[in-house]
Amino acid sequence: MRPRLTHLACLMVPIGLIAMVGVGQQPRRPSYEAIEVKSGGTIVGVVSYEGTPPARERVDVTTSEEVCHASPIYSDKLVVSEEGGVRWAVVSLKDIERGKAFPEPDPEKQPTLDQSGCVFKPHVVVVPQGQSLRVLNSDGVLHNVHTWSKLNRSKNVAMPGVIEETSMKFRRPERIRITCDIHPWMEAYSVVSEHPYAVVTDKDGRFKLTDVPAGKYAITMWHESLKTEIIQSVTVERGKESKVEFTLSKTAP
Amino acid sequence: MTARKSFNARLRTATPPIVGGLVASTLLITACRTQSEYASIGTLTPTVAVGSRGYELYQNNCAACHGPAGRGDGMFAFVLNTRPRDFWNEPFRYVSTLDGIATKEDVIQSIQHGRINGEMPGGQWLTGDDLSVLADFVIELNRLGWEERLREEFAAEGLSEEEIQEISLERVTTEQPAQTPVPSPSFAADLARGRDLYAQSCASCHGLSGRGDGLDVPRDEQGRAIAVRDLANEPIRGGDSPEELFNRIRSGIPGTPMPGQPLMAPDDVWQLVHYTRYIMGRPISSSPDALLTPSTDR
Repeated sequence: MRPRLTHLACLMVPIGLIAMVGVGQQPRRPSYEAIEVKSGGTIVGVVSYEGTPPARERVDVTTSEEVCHASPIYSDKLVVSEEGGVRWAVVSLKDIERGKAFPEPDPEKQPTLDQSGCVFKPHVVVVPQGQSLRVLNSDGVLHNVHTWSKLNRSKNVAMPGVIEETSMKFRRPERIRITCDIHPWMEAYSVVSEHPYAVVTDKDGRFKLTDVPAGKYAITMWHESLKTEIIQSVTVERGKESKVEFTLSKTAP
Repeated sequence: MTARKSFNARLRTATPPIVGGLVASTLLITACRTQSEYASIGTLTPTVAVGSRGYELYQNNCAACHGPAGRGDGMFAFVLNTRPRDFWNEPFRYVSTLDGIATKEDVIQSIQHGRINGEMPGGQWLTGDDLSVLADFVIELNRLGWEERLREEFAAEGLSEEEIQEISLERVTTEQPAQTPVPSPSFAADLARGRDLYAQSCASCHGLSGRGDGLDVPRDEQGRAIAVRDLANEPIRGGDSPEELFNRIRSGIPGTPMPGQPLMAPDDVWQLVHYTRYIMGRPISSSPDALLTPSTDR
Protein backbone atom coordinates (compact mmCIF):
# COMPACT_ATOMS: atom_id res chain seq x y z
CA MET A 1 0.00 0.00 0.00
CA ARG A 2 1.25 3.43 -0.93
CA PRO A 3 1.80 5.59 2.14
CA ARG A 4 -0.76 8.35 1.98
CA LEU A 5 -0.18 11.89 3.12
CA THR A 6 -2.73 11.47 5.92
CA HIS A 7 -0.87 8.42 7.19
CA LEU A 8 2.37 10.33 7.27
CA ALA A 9 0.64 13.20 9.03
CA CYS A 10 -0.72 10.77 11.62
CA LEU A 11 2.75 9.38 12.19
CA MET A 12 4.10 12.86 12.86
CA VAL A 13 1.83 13.23 15.88
CA PRO A 14 3.42 10.45 17.98
CA ILE A 15 6.90 11.39 16.83
CA GLY A 16 6.27 14.97 17.93
CA LEU A 17 4.83 13.82 21.23
CA ILE A 18 7.73 11.50 21.95
CA ALA A 19 10.15 14.32 21.14
CA MET A 20 8.30 16.70 23.49
CA VAL A 21 8.17 14.14 26.27
CA GLY A 22 11.83 13.30 25.80
CA VAL A 23 12.88 16.91 26.21
CA GLY A 24 10.65 17.72 29.14
CA GLN A 25 11.01 14.44 31.02
CA GLN A 26 10.93 14.88 34.76
CA PRO A 27 13.35 13.00 36.94
CA ARG A 28 11.88 10.16 38.97
CA ARG A 29 10.78 11.37 42.36
CA PRO A 30 13.46 10.69 44.93
CA SER A 31 12.42 7.90 47.23
CA TYR A 32 12.30 8.30 50.98
CA GLU A 33 15.34 7.48 53.06
CA ALA A 34 14.93 6.48 56.71
CA ILE A 35 17.53 8.00 59.03
CA GLU A 36 17.90 8.36 62.76
CA VAL A 37 16.30 11.64 63.80
CA LYS A 38 17.90 13.20 66.86
CA SER A 39 16.21 16.19 68.48
CA GLY A 40 13.79 16.78 65.64
CA GLY A 41 10.94 19.21 65.87
CA THR A 42 7.19 18.73 66.18
CA ILE A 43 4.41 20.07 64.01
CA VAL A 44 1.02 20.45 65.66
CA GLY A 45 -2.12 22.01 64.35
CA VAL A 46 -5.76 21.82 63.58
CA VAL A 47 -7.98 21.67 60.53
CA SER A 48 -10.97 23.98 61.02
CA TYR A 49 -14.21 24.31 59.15
CA GLU A 50 -15.02 27.79 57.95
CA GLY A 51 -18.64 28.76 58.58
CA THR A 52 -21.48 26.70 59.93
CA PRO A 53 -20.95 23.02 59.23
CA PRO A 54 -23.89 21.10 57.81
CA ALA A 55 -25.42 18.48 60.10
CA ARG A 56 -24.16 14.94 59.55
CA GLU A 57 -26.39 13.20 57.11
CA ARG A 58 -28.20 10.07 58.25
CA VAL A 59 -27.71 7.22 55.81
CA ASP A 60 -30.72 5.60 54.20
CA VAL A 61 -30.12 1.90 54.81
CA THR A 62 -31.51 -0.10 51.89
CA THR A 63 -29.78 -3.48 52.00
CA SER A 64 -28.93 -6.15 54.60
CA GLU A 65 -31.39 -4.32 56.82
CA GLU A 66 -31.34 -6.77 59.72
CA VAL A 67 -27.60 -6.15 60.27
CA CYS A 68 -27.17 -2.59 59.02
CA HIS A 69 -30.17 -1.26 60.93
CA ALA A 70 -28.70 -2.29 64.29
CA SER A 71 -27.89 1.35 64.98
CA PRO A 72 -28.40 4.52 62.93
CA ILE A 73 -25.61 5.24 60.45
CA TYR A 74 -24.35 8.77 59.91
CA SER A 75 -22.21 9.77 56.95
CA ASP A 76 -18.48 10.23 57.61
CA LYS A 77 -18.04 12.47 54.57
CA LEU A 78 -17.85 15.63 56.67
CA VAL A 79 -17.48 15.33 60.43
CA VAL A 80 -16.99 18.61 62.28
CA SER A 81 -16.67 18.97 66.06
CA GLU A 82 -18.59 21.54 68.09
CA GLU A 83 -15.49 23.73 68.06
CA GLY A 84 -15.27 23.44 64.28
CA GLY A 85 -12.45 20.87 64.00
CA VAL A 86 -12.58 18.69 60.89
CA ARG A 87 -12.14 14.96 61.45
CA TRP A 88 -10.76 12.55 58.83
CA ALA A 89 -8.49 15.03 57.08
CA VAL A 90 -5.02 13.80 56.13
CA VAL A 91 -2.03 15.98 56.93
CA SER A 92 1.27 15.01 55.41
CA LEU A 93 4.73 16.36 54.62
CA LYS A 94 5.06 16.52 50.86
CA ASP A 95 8.16 15.17 49.16
CA ILE A 96 10.13 14.80 52.39
CA GLU A 97 13.32 12.97 51.43
CA ARG A 98 14.79 11.94 54.78
CA GLY A 99 13.32 11.33 58.20
CA LYS A 100 12.44 8.77 60.83
CA ALA A 101 11.67 5.17 59.96
CA PHE A 102 8.24 3.63 60.34
CA PRO A 103 7.83 1.90 63.70
CA GLU A 104 8.62 -1.82 63.51
CA PRO A 105 5.55 -3.63 62.17
CA ASP A 106 3.55 -4.73 65.18
CA PRO A 107 0.78 -7.30 64.70
CA GLU A 108 -1.18 -5.52 67.45
CA LYS A 109 -1.06 -2.22 65.64
CA GLN A 110 -1.36 -3.37 62.04
CA PRO A 111 -3.30 -0.87 59.92
CA THR A 112 -6.81 -2.24 59.93
CA LEU A 113 -10.04 -1.53 58.13
CA ASP A 114 -13.04 -3.13 59.76
CA GLN A 115 -16.50 -3.52 58.28
CA SER A 116 -18.70 -3.21 61.29
CA GLY A 117 -22.35 -2.18 61.49
CA CYS A 118 -22.14 -1.67 57.70
CA VAL A 119 -19.58 1.10 58.14
CA PHE A 120 -15.88 1.05 57.32
CA LYS A 121 -13.94 1.74 60.51
CA PRO A 122 -11.89 3.85 60.55
CA HIS A 123 -13.08 6.06 57.72
CA VAL A 124 -9.50 6.97 56.82
CA VAL A 125 -6.54 4.68 57.53
CA VAL A 126 -2.86 5.34 56.85
CA VAL A 127 -0.91 2.33 55.57
CA PRO A 128 2.90 2.38 55.53
CA GLN A 129 4.14 1.60 52.03
CA GLY A 130 5.13 -2.06 51.83
CA GLN A 131 2.88 -3.11 54.72
CA SER A 132 -0.46 -4.84 54.37
CA LEU A 133 -3.84 -3.45 55.22
CA ARG A 134 -5.76 -5.90 57.39
CA VAL A 135 -9.39 -6.03 56.30
CA LEU A 136 -11.98 -7.40 58.70
CA ASN A 137 -15.63 -8.29 58.32
CA SER A 138 -17.28 -8.19 61.74
CA ASP A 139 -20.80 -8.11 60.33
CA GLY A 140 -21.40 -11.71 59.28
CA VAL A 141 -23.00 -10.51 56.03
CA LEU A 142 -21.53 -10.21 52.55
CA HIS A 143 -19.44 -7.12 51.91
CA ASN A 144 -17.29 -6.45 48.86
CA VAL A 145 -14.10 -4.49 49.26
CA HIS A 146 -13.76 -2.50 46.05
CA THR A 147 -10.67 -0.32 45.69
CA TRP A 148 -10.60 2.54 43.20
CA SER A 149 -6.84 2.77 43.03
CA LYS A 150 -5.12 4.09 39.94
CA LEU A 151 -1.41 3.92 40.69
CA ASN A 152 -1.95 0.51 42.29
CA ARG A 153 -3.79 -2.48 40.89
CA SER A 154 -7.44 -2.23 41.85
CA LYS A 155 -9.27 -4.99 43.65
CA ASN A 156 -12.85 -6.02 44.17
CA VAL A 157 -12.96 -8.87 46.65
CA ALA A 158 -16.05 -10.52 48.06
CA MET A 159 -15.98 -11.04 51.82
CA PRO A 160 -18.90 -13.29 52.67
CA GLY A 161 -19.96 -13.26 56.30
CA VAL A 162 -18.09 -16.50 56.99
CA ILE A 163 -14.77 -14.84 56.15
CA GLU A 164 -13.65 -12.61 58.98
CA GLU A 165 -10.29 -11.43 57.76
CA THR A 166 -8.15 -10.86 54.70
CA SER A 167 -5.36 -8.46 53.78
CA MET A 168 -4.43 -6.19 50.91
CA LYS A 169 -1.12 -4.77 49.85
CA PHE A 170 -0.51 -1.67 47.75
CA ARG A 171 2.88 -1.07 46.17
CA ARG A 172 2.81 2.66 45.59
CA PRO A 173 1.90 5.69 47.70
CA GLU A 174 -1.65 6.70 46.85
CA ARG A 175 -4.89 7.84 48.45
CA ILE A 176 -7.23 5.00 47.63
CA ARG A 177 -10.98 5.21 47.81
CA ILE A 178 -12.60 1.98 48.98
CA THR A 179 -16.28 1.19 48.64
CA CYS A 180 -18.73 -1.63 49.13
CA ASP A 181 -21.18 -1.92 46.25
CA ILE A 182 -23.71 -3.90 48.26
CA HIS A 183 -23.99 -1.09 50.82
CA PRO A 184 -23.49 2.00 48.65
CA TRP A 185 -23.05 4.35 51.61
CA MET A 186 -19.94 2.50 52.76
CA GLU A 187 -16.83 4.41 51.83
CA ALA A 188 -13.31 4.63 53.24
CA TYR A 189 -9.90 5.93 52.22
CA SER A 190 -6.66 4.09 52.58
CA VAL A 191 -3.68 6.43 52.43
CA VAL A 192 -0.53 4.56 51.44
CA SER A 193 2.41 6.66 52.56
CA GLU A 194 6.09 6.16 51.89
CA HIS A 195 7.03 7.98 55.09
CA PRO A 196 5.63 8.17 58.63
CA TYR A 197 4.82 11.89 58.42
CA ALA A 198 1.23 11.32 57.32
CA VAL A 199 -1.54 11.41 59.90
CA VAL A 200 -5.33 11.60 60.10
CA THR A 201 -6.95 14.38 62.13
CA ASP A 202 -8.73 13.31 65.32
CA LYS A 203 -12.31 14.09 66.36
CA ASP A 204 -11.28 17.64 67.27
CA GLY A 205 -9.57 18.18 63.92
CA ARG A 206 -6.12 18.06 65.54
CA PHE A 207 -2.93 16.48 64.22
CA LYS A 208 0.65 16.06 65.39
CA LEU A 209 3.78 15.10 63.47
CA THR A 210 6.74 14.23 65.66
CA ASP A 211 10.51 13.79 65.15
CA VAL A 212 10.63 15.94 62.05
CA PRO A 213 14.21 16.79 61.06
CA ALA A 214 14.81 20.56 61.19
CA GLY A 215 14.14 22.23 57.86
CA LYS A 216 11.55 23.86 55.66
CA TYR A 217 8.76 21.66 54.31
CA ALA A 218 5.66 21.77 52.21
CA ILE A 219 2.83 20.45 54.38
CA THR A 220 -0.39 19.31 52.75
CA MET A 221 -3.93 18.83 53.96
CA TRP A 222 -6.38 16.69 52.08
CA HIS A 223 -10.01 16.07 52.82
CA GLU A 224 -12.35 14.04 50.64
CA SER A 225 -14.46 17.12 49.91
CA LEU A 226 -11.43 18.73 48.22
CA LYS A 227 -10.47 18.14 44.61
CA THR A 228 -6.83 18.95 45.32
CA GLU A 229 -4.86 19.08 48.52
CA ILE A 230 -4.12 22.39 50.25
CA ILE A 231 -0.41 23.16 50.60
CA GLN A 232 1.36 25.43 53.09
CA SER A 233 4.94 25.81 54.07
CA VAL A 234 6.29 25.14 57.54
CA THR A 235 9.68 25.60 59.15
CA VAL A 236 10.75 23.09 61.77
CA GLU A 237 13.46 23.87 64.31
CA ARG A 238 15.35 21.43 66.53
CA GLY A 239 13.40 20.52 69.65
CA LYS A 240 10.70 23.10 68.98
CA GLU A 241 7.02 22.97 68.15
CA SER A 242 5.71 24.56 64.96
CA LYS A 243 2.02 25.37 64.59
CA VAL A 244 0.08 24.98 61.38
CA GLU A 245 -3.58 25.77 60.80
CA PHE A 246 -5.63 24.65 57.86
CA THR A 247 -9.08 25.83 56.91
CA LEU A 248 -11.65 23.82 55.04
CA SER A 249 -14.30 26.03 53.52
CA LYS A 250 -17.56 25.14 51.90
CA THR A 251 -16.47 26.89 48.72
CA ALA A 252 -13.09 25.14 48.51
CA PRO A 253 -12.16 23.82 45.05
CA MET B 1 -54.43 -1.18 -3.53
CA THR B 2 -53.66 1.16 -6.40
CA ALA B 3 -52.26 3.70 -4.03
CA ARG B 4 -50.02 1.12 -2.40
CA LYS B 5 -48.89 -0.22 -5.76
CA SER B 6 -47.97 3.19 -6.99
CA PHE B 7 -46.23 3.89 -3.69
CA ASN B 8 -44.29 0.65 -4.00
CA ALA B 9 -43.47 1.48 -7.58
CA ARG B 10 -42.22 4.88 -6.55
CA LEU B 11 -40.25 3.30 -3.76
CA ARG B 12 -38.67 0.83 -6.19
CA THR B 13 -37.58 3.64 -8.47
CA ALA B 14 -36.30 5.67 -5.57
CA THR B 15 -34.54 2.81 -3.79
CA PRO B 16 -31.28 2.66 -5.75
CA PRO B 17 -30.51 6.38 -5.35
CA ILE B 18 -31.57 6.36 -1.67
CA VAL B 19 -29.52 3.29 -0.83
CA GLY B 20 -26.64 4.53 -2.94
CA GLY B 21 -26.73 7.90 -1.25
CA LEU B 22 -26.89 6.33 2.20
CA VAL B 23 -24.03 3.97 1.48
CA ALA B 24 -21.92 6.72 -0.06
CA SER B 25 -22.50 9.17 2.77
CA THR B 26 -21.92 6.45 5.39
CA LEU B 27 -18.66 5.48 3.72
CA LEU B 28 -17.63 9.11 3.43
CA ILE B 29 -18.46 9.84 7.04
CA THR B 30 -16.70 6.68 8.20
CA ALA B 31 -13.59 7.41 6.18
CA CYS B 32 -13.35 10.99 7.43
CA ARG B 33 -14.16 10.11 11.02
CA THR B 34 -11.83 7.15 11.11
CA GLN B 35 -8.79 9.00 9.90
CA SER B 36 -9.31 12.24 11.78
CA GLU B 37 -10.60 10.82 15.05
CA TYR B 38 -8.06 8.09 15.15
CA ALA B 39 -5.21 10.43 14.41
CA SER B 40 -6.40 12.76 17.15
CA ILE B 41 -6.28 10.17 19.90
CA GLY B 42 -2.80 11.20 20.90
CA THR B 43 0.01 8.80 21.54
CA LEU B 44 0.03 6.05 18.95
CA THR B 45 2.43 3.24 19.63
CA PRO B 46 3.52 0.86 16.85
CA THR B 47 0.94 -1.75 17.89
CA VAL B 48 -1.92 0.63 17.15
CA ALA B 49 -0.33 2.90 14.51
CA VAL B 50 -2.42 3.92 11.51
CA GLY B 51 -1.82 1.44 8.73
CA SER B 52 -0.62 -1.35 11.01
CA ARG B 53 -2.24 -4.74 10.58
CA GLY B 54 -4.03 -4.36 13.89
CA TYR B 55 -5.39 -1.02 12.77
CA GLU B 56 -6.75 -2.42 9.50
CA LEU B 57 -8.29 -5.47 11.20
CA TYR B 58 -9.80 -3.30 13.92
CA GLN B 59 -11.29 -0.77 11.50
CA ASN B 60 -12.77 -3.57 9.36
CA ASN B 61 -14.16 -5.73 12.15
CA CYS B 62 -14.71 -3.70 15.30
CA ALA B 63 -14.87 0.05 14.65
CA ALA B 64 -18.50 0.13 13.52
CA CYS B 65 -19.61 -0.48 17.10
CA HIS B 66 -16.53 0.19 19.25
CA GLY B 67 -15.75 3.43 17.40
CA PRO B 68 -12.88 4.45 15.13
CA ALA B 69 -10.58 5.03 18.09
CA GLY B 70 -12.04 2.34 20.36
CA ARG B 71 -13.94 4.66 22.66
CA GLY B 72 -17.22 2.74 22.44
CA ASP B 73 -18.81 5.32 20.14
CA GLY B 74 -19.09 3.58 16.80
CA MET B 75 -21.79 4.62 14.35
CA PHE B 76 -24.02 1.70 15.34
CA ALA B 77 -23.50 2.14 19.07
CA PHE B 78 -26.70 4.11 19.43
CA VAL B 79 -28.92 1.32 18.09
CA LEU B 80 -27.51 -1.29 20.47
CA ASN B 81 -29.07 -2.17 23.79
CA THR B 82 -25.64 -2.86 25.24
CA ARG B 83 -23.08 -0.12 25.11
CA PRO B 84 -19.99 -1.28 23.22
CA ARG B 85 -16.89 -1.38 25.41
CA ASP B 86 -14.80 1.78 25.56
CA PHE B 87 -11.35 0.20 25.44
CA TRP B 88 -9.71 3.36 26.76
CA ASN B 89 -11.71 3.76 29.92
CA GLU B 90 -13.17 0.39 30.88
CA PRO B 91 -11.52 -2.85 31.89
CA PHE B 92 -12.20 -6.04 29.97
CA ARG B 93 -15.14 -7.73 31.67
CA TYR B 94 -14.63 -11.44 31.04
CA VAL B 95 -11.45 -12.61 32.65
CA SER B 96 -9.96 -15.76 34.13
CA THR B 97 -7.37 -14.22 36.46
CA LEU B 98 -7.36 -13.62 40.19
CA ASP B 99 -6.47 -9.93 39.88
CA GLY B 100 -9.19 -9.06 37.41
CA ILE B 101 -6.85 -8.25 34.51
CA ALA B 102 -7.63 -10.00 31.25
CA THR B 103 -5.01 -12.25 29.72
CA LYS B 104 -4.54 -12.08 25.97
CA GLU B 105 -6.27 -15.46 25.79
CA ASP B 106 -9.31 -13.99 27.63
CA VAL B 107 -9.53 -11.18 25.08
CA ILE B 108 -9.16 -13.63 22.18
CA GLN B 109 -12.01 -15.70 23.65
CA SER B 110 -14.27 -12.64 23.65
CA ILE B 111 -13.38 -11.66 20.08
CA GLN B 112 -13.73 -15.19 18.77
CA HIS B 113 -16.98 -16.13 20.47
CA GLY B 114 -18.67 -12.78 20.93
CA ARG B 115 -20.99 -12.22 23.83
CA ILE B 116 -24.20 -14.18 24.20
CA ASN B 117 -27.12 -11.74 24.39
CA GLY B 118 -24.62 -8.91 24.42
CA GLU B 119 -25.06 -8.23 20.72
CA MET B 120 -21.38 -8.67 20.00
CA PRO B 121 -21.03 -11.20 17.22
CA GLY B 122 -18.26 -13.75 17.37
CA GLY B 123 -15.47 -13.35 14.85
CA GLN B 124 -15.38 -16.97 13.75
CA TRP B 125 -14.05 -15.90 10.34
CA LEU B 126 -10.85 -14.52 11.86
CA THR B 127 -7.71 -16.63 11.75
CA GLY B 128 -5.73 -17.37 14.88
CA ASP B 129 -3.14 -14.82 13.86
CA ASP B 130 -5.79 -12.14 13.20
CA LEU B 131 -7.25 -12.80 16.65
CA SER B 132 -3.84 -12.45 18.24
CA VAL B 133 -3.12 -9.15 16.44
CA LEU B 134 -6.57 -7.78 17.33
CA ALA B 135 -6.19 -8.78 20.97
CA ASP B 136 -2.83 -6.98 21.14
CA PHE B 137 -4.46 -3.97 19.51
CA VAL B 138 -7.33 -3.57 21.98
CA ILE B 139 -5.13 -4.36 25.00
CA GLU B 140 -2.78 -1.61 23.83
CA LEU B 141 -5.75 0.81 23.58
CA ASN B 142 -6.61 -0.16 27.14
CA ARG B 143 -3.06 0.59 28.23
CA LEU B 144 -3.09 3.93 26.39
CA GLY B 145 -6.26 4.78 28.29
CA TRP B 146 -4.38 4.28 31.55
CA GLU B 147 -1.55 6.44 30.25
CA GLU B 148 -4.02 9.16 29.38
CA ARG B 149 -5.73 9.12 32.79
CA LEU B 150 -2.51 8.87 34.79
CA ARG B 151 -1.00 11.78 32.87
CA GLU B 152 -4.11 13.88 33.37
CA GLU B 153 -4.41 13.17 37.06
CA PHE B 154 -0.88 12.71 38.37
CA ALA B 155 1.62 14.39 36.03
CA ALA B 156 1.09 17.72 37.80
CA GLU B 157 1.83 15.99 41.12
CA GLY B 158 5.21 14.88 39.82
CA LEU B 159 4.51 11.41 38.41
CA SER B 160 7.22 11.01 35.79
CA GLU B 161 6.67 9.86 32.21
CA GLU B 162 8.70 6.76 33.03
CA GLU B 163 6.39 5.90 35.93
CA ILE B 164 3.31 6.55 33.76
CA GLN B 165 4.63 4.02 31.24
CA GLU B 166 5.46 1.52 33.96
CA ILE B 167 2.12 1.79 35.74
CA SER B 168 0.01 1.77 32.57
CA LEU B 169 1.69 -1.47 31.53
CA GLU B 170 1.17 -2.93 34.99
CA ARG B 171 -2.54 -2.10 34.85
CA VAL B 172 -3.06 -4.31 31.78
CA THR B 173 -0.70 -7.14 32.73
CA THR B 174 -1.97 -9.83 35.03
CA GLU B 175 0.14 -10.91 37.95
CA GLN B 176 -2.14 -13.80 38.78
CA PRO B 177 -3.01 -15.82 35.71
CA ALA B 178 -5.07 -18.75 36.84
CA GLN B 179 -5.82 -22.16 35.45
CA THR B 180 -9.33 -23.37 36.04
CA PRO B 181 -8.72 -25.95 38.77
CA VAL B 182 -10.09 -29.43 38.44
CA PRO B 183 -12.54 -30.35 41.24
CA SER B 184 -10.84 -32.35 43.96
CA PRO B 185 -11.23 -36.17 43.82
CA SER B 186 -13.64 -36.10 46.75
CA PHE B 187 -15.87 -33.47 45.09
CA ALA B 188 -19.55 -34.34 44.85
CA ALA B 189 -22.24 -31.97 43.70
CA ASP B 190 -24.31 -30.92 46.71
CA LEU B 191 -27.14 -28.51 45.99
CA ALA B 192 -27.76 -27.83 49.69
CA ARG B 193 -24.17 -26.71 50.07
CA GLY B 194 -24.50 -24.70 46.84
CA ARG B 195 -27.64 -23.02 48.15
CA ASP B 196 -25.89 -22.01 51.39
CA LEU B 197 -22.91 -20.62 49.51
CA TYR B 198 -25.24 -18.81 47.14
CA ALA B 199 -27.13 -17.24 50.05
CA GLN B 200 -23.85 -16.09 51.61
CA SER B 201 -22.06 -14.81 48.54
CA CYS B 202 -24.48 -14.11 45.72
CA ALA B 203 -28.00 -13.44 46.98
CA SER B 204 -27.27 -9.87 48.16
CA CYS B 205 -27.22 -8.79 44.52
CA HIS B 206 -28.72 -11.63 42.46
CA GLY B 207 -31.59 -12.18 44.92
CA LEU B 208 -32.38 -15.36 46.81
CA SER B 209 -34.21 -16.84 43.85
CA GLY B 210 -31.65 -15.60 41.33
CA ARG B 211 -33.85 -13.02 39.67
CA GLY B 212 -31.35 -10.20 39.90
CA ASP B 213 -33.48 -8.26 42.35
CA GLY B 214 -31.10 -7.87 45.28
CA LEU B 215 -29.69 -4.39 44.69
CA ASP B 216 -31.53 -1.13 44.19
CA VAL B 217 -29.57 0.70 41.52
CA PRO B 218 -26.30 -1.05 40.79
CA ARG B 219 -23.83 1.04 38.82
CA ASP B 220 -20.75 0.22 36.84
CA GLU B 221 -17.44 2.01 37.50
CA GLN B 222 -18.43 4.68 34.99
CA GLY B 223 -21.44 5.45 37.18
CA ARG B 224 -23.99 4.14 34.69
CA ALA B 225 -26.96 2.19 35.99
CA ILE B 226 -26.65 -1.45 35.02
CA ALA B 227 -28.70 -4.57 35.61
CA VAL B 228 -27.80 -7.43 37.87
CA ARG B 229 -28.11 -10.58 35.81
CA ASP B 230 -31.39 -12.43 36.28
CA LEU B 231 -29.85 -15.89 36.50
CA ALA B 232 -33.19 -17.62 36.29
CA ASN B 233 -34.33 -16.02 33.03
CA GLU B 234 -31.55 -14.31 31.13
CA PRO B 235 -28.68 -15.79 29.19
CA ILE B 236 -25.31 -15.37 30.91
CA ARG B 237 -23.33 -12.89 28.87
CA GLY B 238 -19.94 -14.32 29.74
CA GLY B 239 -21.03 -17.82 28.70
CA ASP B 240 -22.58 -20.58 30.75
CA SER B 241 -20.29 -23.54 30.36
CA PRO B 242 -19.13 -24.78 33.77
CA GLU B 243 -15.66 -23.36 33.17
CA GLU B 244 -16.95 -19.94 32.14
CA LEU B 245 -19.27 -19.81 35.15
CA PHE B 246 -16.36 -20.84 37.36
CA ASN B 247 -14.25 -17.95 36.04
CA ARG B 248 -17.07 -15.41 36.35
CA ILE B 249 -17.65 -16.39 39.97
CA ARG B 250 -14.01 -16.60 40.98
CA SER B 251 -12.69 -13.58 39.04
CA GLY B 252 -15.76 -11.37 39.31
CA ILE B 253 -16.59 -8.93 36.53
CA PRO B 254 -14.11 -6.03 36.51
CA GLY B 255 -15.61 -2.60 36.01
CA THR B 256 -18.89 -3.66 37.64
CA PRO B 257 -19.91 -4.18 41.27
CA MET B 258 -19.50 -7.96 40.92
CA PRO B 259 -16.54 -8.89 43.12
CA GLY B 260 -14.23 -11.82 42.66
CA GLN B 261 -14.21 -14.71 45.13
CA PRO B 262 -10.48 -15.27 45.58
CA LEU B 263 -11.11 -16.23 49.22
CA MET B 264 -13.47 -19.07 48.34
CA ALA B 265 -12.17 -22.65 48.04
CA PRO B 266 -12.24 -23.87 44.41
CA ASP B 267 -14.52 -26.79 45.29
CA ASP B 268 -17.00 -24.32 46.77
CA VAL B 269 -16.89 -22.30 43.55
CA TRP B 270 -17.69 -25.54 41.71
CA GLN B 271 -20.66 -26.04 44.05
CA LEU B 272 -21.81 -22.56 43.05
CA VAL B 273 -21.42 -23.48 39.38
CA HIS B 274 -23.75 -26.44 40.00
CA TYR B 275 -26.20 -24.31 41.92
CA THR B 276 -26.19 -21.52 39.31
CA ARG B 277 -26.96 -24.00 36.55
CA TYR B 278 -29.72 -25.40 38.77
CA ILE B 279 -31.24 -21.92 39.11
CA MET B 280 -30.95 -21.47 35.36
CA GLY B 281 -33.06 -24.60 34.94
CA ARG B 282 -30.23 -26.45 33.23
CA PRO B 283 -28.63 -28.53 35.95
CA ILE B 284 -25.34 -30.26 35.27
CA SER B 285 -25.06 -33.98 35.76
CA SER B 286 -23.41 -34.65 39.09
CA SER B 287 -20.56 -36.61 37.54
CA PRO B 288 -17.35 -34.59 38.05
CA ASP B 289 -16.56 -34.89 34.32
CA ALA B 290 -19.66 -32.87 33.50
CA LEU B 291 -17.97 -29.80 34.95
CA LEU B 292 -15.22 -29.97 32.41
CA THR B 293 -17.43 -30.33 29.34
CA PRO B 294 -17.37 -27.25 27.12
CA SER B 295 -20.59 -25.36 26.48
CA THR B 296 -22.71 -26.50 23.57
CA ASP B 297 -24.63 -23.23 23.30
CA ARG B 298 -22.35 -21.26 21.10
